[in-house]
Amino acid sequence: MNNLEFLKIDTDTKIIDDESRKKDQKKALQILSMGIFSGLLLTAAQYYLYLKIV
Amino acid sequence: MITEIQVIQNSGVPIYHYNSIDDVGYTNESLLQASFIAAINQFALELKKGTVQRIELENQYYLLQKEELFTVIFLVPPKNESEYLNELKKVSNYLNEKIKNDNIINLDIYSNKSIEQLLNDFDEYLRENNLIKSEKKFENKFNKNQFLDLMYKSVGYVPGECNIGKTERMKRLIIGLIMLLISIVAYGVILLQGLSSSYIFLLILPNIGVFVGFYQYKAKFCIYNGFNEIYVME
Repeated sequence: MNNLEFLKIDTDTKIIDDESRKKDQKKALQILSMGIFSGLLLTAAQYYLYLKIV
Repeated sequence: MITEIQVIQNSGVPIYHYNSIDDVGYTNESLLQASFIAAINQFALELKKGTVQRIELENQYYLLQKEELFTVIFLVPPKNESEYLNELKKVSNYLNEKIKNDNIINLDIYSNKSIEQLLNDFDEYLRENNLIKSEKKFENKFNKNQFLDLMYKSVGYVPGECNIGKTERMKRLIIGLIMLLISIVAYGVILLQGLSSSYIFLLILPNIGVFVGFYQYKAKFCIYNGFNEIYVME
């Protein structure tokens, strides 16, 4: 084991305060819903295009 | 006159700070100072098997007394160093004895309630011995947020705004592009093969994957990390 191991910056860490947790969950939910909505919209567009072409 | 008195856990987490200029309480500067001194101490211990006892500035000295659980730091002018050293040892002994008498085994200020009483007694002791002159009582309640804020800033994590680093962002961009490719190819196959329109609904999942990947890349924010209460700033 390298004896300079202690100098490594911990960049993968558990969040330890409630306020940050809540902010993160809110943001995660926001991005997830935007992703789902946009995905559904794209599928609808593809379906519409299919009906136009075929 | 002692300019600053600071007590830090040997891990670098500050637990007590007094500054004769800015009055008692933590500032980002004192938090950085604690981390810096803990790092130097740890460095000396790992590489030279010894502890740092003095850091000399142009017109001031840091005097350090390291104990099993904590380090006491005085910032003093470069006069009467031996007197300050004696004071430092006394203060350090007092705190050490108090910790032993109160059966305190760790100095985690966030989980150990008895630390608060210990720090108040310590503050009282410093006042009785005329080592601090401030009338404002020491409070350690508010330092948690400051400490967290600094800790988060040092790695780049911003709650609710950024919880992934460059490498992790690129992974999400690549996932989004792969999903886009799957969606385009599958759509092409459905069109060219003249398959039923209901097959298009199978594209919902890759289509969602496209936008979830791109949005995570753009927002520098990972949904999985957000729900699992972690950040990965790599």
